[in-house]
Amino acid sequence: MSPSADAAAPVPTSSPPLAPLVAAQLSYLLSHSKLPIRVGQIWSGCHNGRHSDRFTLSIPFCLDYVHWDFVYNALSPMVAPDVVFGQDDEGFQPLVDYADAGNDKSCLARWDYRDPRGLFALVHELRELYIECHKKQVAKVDDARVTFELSTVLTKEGIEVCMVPSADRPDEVKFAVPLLDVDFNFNKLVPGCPWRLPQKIHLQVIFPISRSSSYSSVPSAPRLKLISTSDLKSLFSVEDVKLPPWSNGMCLAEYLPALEESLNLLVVEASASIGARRRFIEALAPTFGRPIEADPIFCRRATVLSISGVFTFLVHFAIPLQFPKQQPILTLQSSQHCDADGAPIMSPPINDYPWSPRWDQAEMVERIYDFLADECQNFKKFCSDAITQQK
Amino acid sequence: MALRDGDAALPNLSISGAALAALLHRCAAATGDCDGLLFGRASHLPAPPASLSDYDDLAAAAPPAPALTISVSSHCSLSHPSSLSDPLGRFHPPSSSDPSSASAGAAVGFFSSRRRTALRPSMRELALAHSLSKTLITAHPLLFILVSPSASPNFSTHSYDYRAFLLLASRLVPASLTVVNVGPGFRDQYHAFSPQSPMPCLPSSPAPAGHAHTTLGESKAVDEMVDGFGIGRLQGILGSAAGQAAEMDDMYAGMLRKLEKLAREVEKSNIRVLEQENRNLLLRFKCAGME
Repeated sequence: MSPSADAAAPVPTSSPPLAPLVAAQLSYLLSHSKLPIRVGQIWSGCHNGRHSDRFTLSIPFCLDYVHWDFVYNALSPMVAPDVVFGQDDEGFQPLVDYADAGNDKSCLARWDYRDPRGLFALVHELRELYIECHKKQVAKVDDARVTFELSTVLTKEGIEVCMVPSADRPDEVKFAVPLLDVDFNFNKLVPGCPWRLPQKIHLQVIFPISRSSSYSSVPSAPRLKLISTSDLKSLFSVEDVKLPPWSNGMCLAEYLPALEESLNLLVVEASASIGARRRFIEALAPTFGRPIEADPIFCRRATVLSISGVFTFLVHFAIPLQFPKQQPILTLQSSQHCDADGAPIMSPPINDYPWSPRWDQAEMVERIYDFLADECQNFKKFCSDAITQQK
Repeated sequence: MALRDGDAALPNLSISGAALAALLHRCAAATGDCDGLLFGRASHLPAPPASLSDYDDLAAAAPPAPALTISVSSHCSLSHPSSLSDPLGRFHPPSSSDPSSASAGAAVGFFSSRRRTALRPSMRELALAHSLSKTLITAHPLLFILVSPSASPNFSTHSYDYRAFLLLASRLVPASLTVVNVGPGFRDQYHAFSPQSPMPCLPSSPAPAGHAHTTLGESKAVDEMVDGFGIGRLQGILGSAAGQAAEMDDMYAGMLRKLEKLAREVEKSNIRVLEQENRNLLLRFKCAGME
C-alpha cells in the first residue's frame, strides 16, 4: 500500500496540464477517496497535445493494485470517459453486464461533465463490480475447501478474493481478509495523528487449489501473512506478530477470532508504547538539555546537542516500537568534523550499551549519559582519525 | 497444428489500401478521438485454385472449402468521440436524419480511434460491439478496428497502430487484417470482384423514335456521369456495331469534365467544413474552460 504522500502529488512535470474539468474530477477523487489510489502516467490525446486528458490510475484490489487507463477527451468535454482495463482483466465487462441486466443505475447513465464527483463515483462503482466479478470467478473453482471457505467468510464485510494464476504451479486463490472491526480507527489511538487515509491490517490467505480427485487427502495449509497499510508501520509492525498455528482441517472462520483477539491486545500495547517513548523523550531534558528535534506524534526520534570540553556533537535517538523492551539506538554526529564530501561524520549505530527495561525513564537517561561521557572520547578520536586519513 | 485449425475457423479480413488510408487519415485529422461505422461486404469466396503440384496426394488431402471473407471498403464517421453510443456503450445512430443510419444495414462493423492508448478494447467499445451486433444482425462476426494514432513530441514522426478484432462468443478476439493493394500478389481478391456500378440500364438498340421515348430519369442518370451528353448520342454509340472513336472520345472528355467539376465542389465544401470545425473547436474550448 502506498504512502498517502504519493497520492497528493499527482502531476508529473513533463506532461501538459490536465484539462480543467478533468483536473477537477481527478483532484476530487484523490482528496475524497478513502482508498490509497495512485496516479501513474498522465498524457494528452489532443491533436495539438496542449492539454492532458488521459491518465493511468492504480486502484487497490486484493492487497495489490490494478492499473486502469481513464480516457477523457479534452476537446469533447461532454463525453463521458472510457476505461481501458488491464491486460489480465479480459473477463471484466461491466457495461455488457449492465446491458444484459437492463441496469441503468450506473453513474455513467446520468453523466454530468461539470460535476467534479463523476470520476469518484465511476472508480468506486467499477471497483465494486470488479470485486464481485472476481468473487464469481473464484466461486467457479472446483475445490471443496475453497467453496466452503467462500460460503462461510464471504459475508464478512470488506473481504476481497482473486485467483492467482501462475505458470509453474497450480493456480491459487487469494483471500484478503480485513482484520479488527470495520470501524476500528487507528487514528484515534494516536493523538494528533497525521494519517489522511484509514489504516487497515489485512490477513492474506493463499489457498493452493487441490483438484477434486484428491478428495481423501487432507488439503495443505494455506500460506498466511499479515499485511498493513504503510503508514501504520510507524505505530505497529505486523512483521513482529507471531501468527497462531494453522492446524489440520481448520477453516478461516475458526482461525480468525483468535487472531483478531491477540491482534487487538498488541495494538493496544503499541499505542501504550507511544506513552512510554514520550516520557523517555521528556526525561532527556533535565540531563541533556531540551532536545533540538523530536518526533511529537509517534515519539520515534529525538536529537540532543551535547558538549564534552570543546567537542560539540549531536546524539540521535532512534526509539524502537518495542521500547522499553528494546533500547534506543544511538548515533553520534560531530558538529566539528566533516568528511571529504563535506557531510558531518557520523558514528556507527550503537545499541550494545547497558540497559534494563525495568529502570524508570530518568534512570535510563542517566545511564545513557554516563555511557556517552566515555563514548564521546572514542568518537572524538574516530573523527580525528578520519580527518587525518583524508590528508 | 491446433493453432492452424483455430485460424481456419476465423473469417479472412481484408481492407483495400485506399480504404485503410482514408480511415487512418480520418483518425489522424480528428481533433480528439473518433469512431464510426465500417462498410463492406462479407462473402464466401471459393478457395483459390490449388496451385499445380507434382504431389497429387497433398492436393487431394486438402479439399478447398469456401472461406468467409469480410472486406472493408469504406467508413463513415462524425470525427467525434463516442458518436455511435451513449456513455453506457449502447448503440445509437448518430442522428436519425444522418445518411449513415439509413445505410447502417450494410455495416460490417465499426472502428474506434483513441490517441496514444493501449490496443485493447475499452469498456465501452466492448459494450458497443455487443449492442451493435444485436442491431445489425449480420450473418458474420462483427468486425472492430481499433486505431491508436500517435505523434512524436515535435510532430516529426506520426505512427498509426491498428488492430482488428472479431466479436466471437461475446469476446473481442484479435484477428489479422490483410491490406489489399494492386498487384499480382492480390489476385485472389480481384478474382471475386463483382462491380457494383451505378451505370443505368440502357436499351441495347436505339429505339426507332429516338429522343421521344427517353424518360427524364434516364437522361438524369446519364447526366450524372457525363455533362451535356445526350442520351441519344449514348444510344448511338451502343447501337453501332463498332462504335465511333470520335464519339467515344467525346464521351470520355465529358466524363473527365464532370469529374473535375465534382472535385472543385468537394474542395470548396471541404474548406467550408474546415471553417465550421474551427468554429466548433472554439466553442468546445469555451465549454471545457480552456480559453
